Amino acid sequence: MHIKNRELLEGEWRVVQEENDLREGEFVLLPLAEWVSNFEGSVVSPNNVGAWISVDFDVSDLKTVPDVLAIYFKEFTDGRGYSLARLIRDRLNFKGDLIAIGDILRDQLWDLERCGFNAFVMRSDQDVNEALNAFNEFDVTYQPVTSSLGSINDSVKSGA
Amino acid sequence: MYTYNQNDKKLVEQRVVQFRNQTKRYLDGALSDDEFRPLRLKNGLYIQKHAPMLRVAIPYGLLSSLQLRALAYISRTYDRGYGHFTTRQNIQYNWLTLESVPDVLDELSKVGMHAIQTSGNCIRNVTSDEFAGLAPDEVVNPLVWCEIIRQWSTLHPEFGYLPRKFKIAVSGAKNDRAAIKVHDIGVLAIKKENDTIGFSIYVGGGLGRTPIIGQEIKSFLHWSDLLTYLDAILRVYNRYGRRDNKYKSRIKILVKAMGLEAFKKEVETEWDCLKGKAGTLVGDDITRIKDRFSNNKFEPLIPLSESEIFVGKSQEFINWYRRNVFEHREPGYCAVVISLKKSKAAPGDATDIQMDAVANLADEFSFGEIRVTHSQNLVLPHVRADQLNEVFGVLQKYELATSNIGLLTDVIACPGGDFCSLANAVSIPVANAIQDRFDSLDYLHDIGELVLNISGCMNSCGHHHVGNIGILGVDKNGEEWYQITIGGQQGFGAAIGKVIGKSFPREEVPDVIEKLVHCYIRHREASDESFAQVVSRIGLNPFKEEVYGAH
Ligand code: SF4
Repeated sequence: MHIKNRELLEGEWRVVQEENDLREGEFVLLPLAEWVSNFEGSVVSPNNVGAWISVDFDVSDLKTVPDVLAIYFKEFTDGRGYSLARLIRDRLNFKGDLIAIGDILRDQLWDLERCGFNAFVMRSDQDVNEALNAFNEFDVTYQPVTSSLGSINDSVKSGA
Repeated sequence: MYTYNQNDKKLVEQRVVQFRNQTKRYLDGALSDDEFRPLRLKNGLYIQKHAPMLRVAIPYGLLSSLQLRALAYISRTYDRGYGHFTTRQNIQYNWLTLESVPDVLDELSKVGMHAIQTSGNCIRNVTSDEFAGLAPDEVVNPLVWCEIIRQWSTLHPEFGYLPRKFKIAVSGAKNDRAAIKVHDIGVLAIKKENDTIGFSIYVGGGLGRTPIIGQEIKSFLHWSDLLTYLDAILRVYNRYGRRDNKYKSRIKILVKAMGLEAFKKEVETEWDCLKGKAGTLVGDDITRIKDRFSNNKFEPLIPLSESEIFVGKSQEFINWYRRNVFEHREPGYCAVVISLKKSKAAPGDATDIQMDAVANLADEFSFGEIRVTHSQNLVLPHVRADQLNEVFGVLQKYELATSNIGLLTDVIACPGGDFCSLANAVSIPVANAIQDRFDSLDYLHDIGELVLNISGCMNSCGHHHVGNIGILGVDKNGEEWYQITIGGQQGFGAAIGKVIGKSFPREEVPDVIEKLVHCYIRHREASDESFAQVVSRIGLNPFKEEVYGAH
């Protein structure tokens, strides 16, 4: 199970090390370098194969961007992934699926979403059904939001 | 006062519901200790020596009488009848139970208060000048900008898991009462010749283990760019600040390691992409917030001279007036500082009864407004000069009239070893011992302005580095010892104090302070040459000799 656009979907994005790990019909995430060496320059890349990067990735190294990109959080307390997601959405104007993977817990989902993630593969012990509530805890925010459409919308401004 | 609108209110209420749910999941075992810790910290909740400690935000030190009464009610109902005001203009409760915290937060939300981001690795409660909006030396009123920063930083999605805590202070006056140079970011509101408002931005200041004075990263930032520029600084810090060593993870270490110029270049690159985009402030944003600040109706008064104020008054009143009453920009009004530094009490502590009394005074004499100062005192900001005596009388009744603001006994001290599990040594008993030693008011007044700060450990919550005299608790083979620094300063001339020599056991500290004071008095050239001025003129050596003897 994973969450995409606030809905629960069947299937998992599996993180693999090499392209020859792929199985027919499966959704997998390759390390970016592996993805680049296999699919860079191809007219259509398979939509069931994405790439993953870690939170300390330097965006200027991203030459070709896959349609599906995941950011791997080793620990949920490492906030670098939030800024990285914003840079990918806002600066690179990335419009594809941005997936948070790794140590992804319920109480971080809403912030992650506001920074541009639209999909989440949660840590295996998490209750994904209950986790959907995390998106509905607040009706108000003070900050502009980075949406999955790659643009910033104005939030509800105070006093409006 | 800033009054919440519907959205502000809703956000705080929803945060309470969210935290109640998080606490429940923790108590049910669905959240582990490690998972709950950052969540509770971001809501001001520490697990301490005796009980959980809850730190409640008092944004930029501004309180209404209604809010202060709620704080009194909470201390009476859920704690042990008192609260501790901190150097960051917050209040802490030391004796709550974990289960009661959501209810306390509920009570707070009813009066537009919360504990959001008073702790944890996120942007902390913004602090400011306790005389904001009323000081005669003010160039720009910082309050509106404080509120804008408060809103921007509240539940900021990108900066909830920074390498370390992040503190912002805002000032807008000619004298810096907000200590902007010892904050991660210091914002100084200024005006250009053509009256355009903007900000000088300082970055990388801080106390703690490695005290560093902040440096100017931007000399003039147009007001509309405030938030995008702050975003840019925070983003650079969030991406590149060290996360492998908590003692090296503050922004000051990053700025130092990169060098100011390189750091600035990164910020500018980031800002290029953010500038002018969402988050850029427009005039309407400012007006909207300004309109929610109360507009106090000051009466047109004839200003009173000191001699007019003193006619028929007691010497006690006159002493108090000289120390605790400050100038107000409106003629005929004054700002009254209420000392929370009487001997035998922890600096910054106020009982529920005292809080209620101050709230009542605020209603009757100060437009229902109270301020909390970074030196852990309270302020009645708008008192008529002809009503001072009445206010003084009430304060006396509640033991709130100690005339020692800015003097040696107006000690700043962290909770220290009595409460804090990180402490090397106690601070409150040391503060009290010094207050007892200098209990003669005449002598105290003769010594004059002297900032004495005490921290129980290197984390420096008592700001000992910037005290004219700083006392730091150190651990010597499991015993409590104290290291003394002198020459520290707050404000624009901020300076880090220097250690005078080897440390002392607790019982010797008052003697050492007394010797330092004697040395100062002998060397001062005029009665108004302050301790800090003498130290900078004659240096450390005469003080060292006085304390350690000539070797
Ligand atoms: S300075 Fe140290 S002892 Fe004092 S409150 Fe801070 S952490 Fe605790």
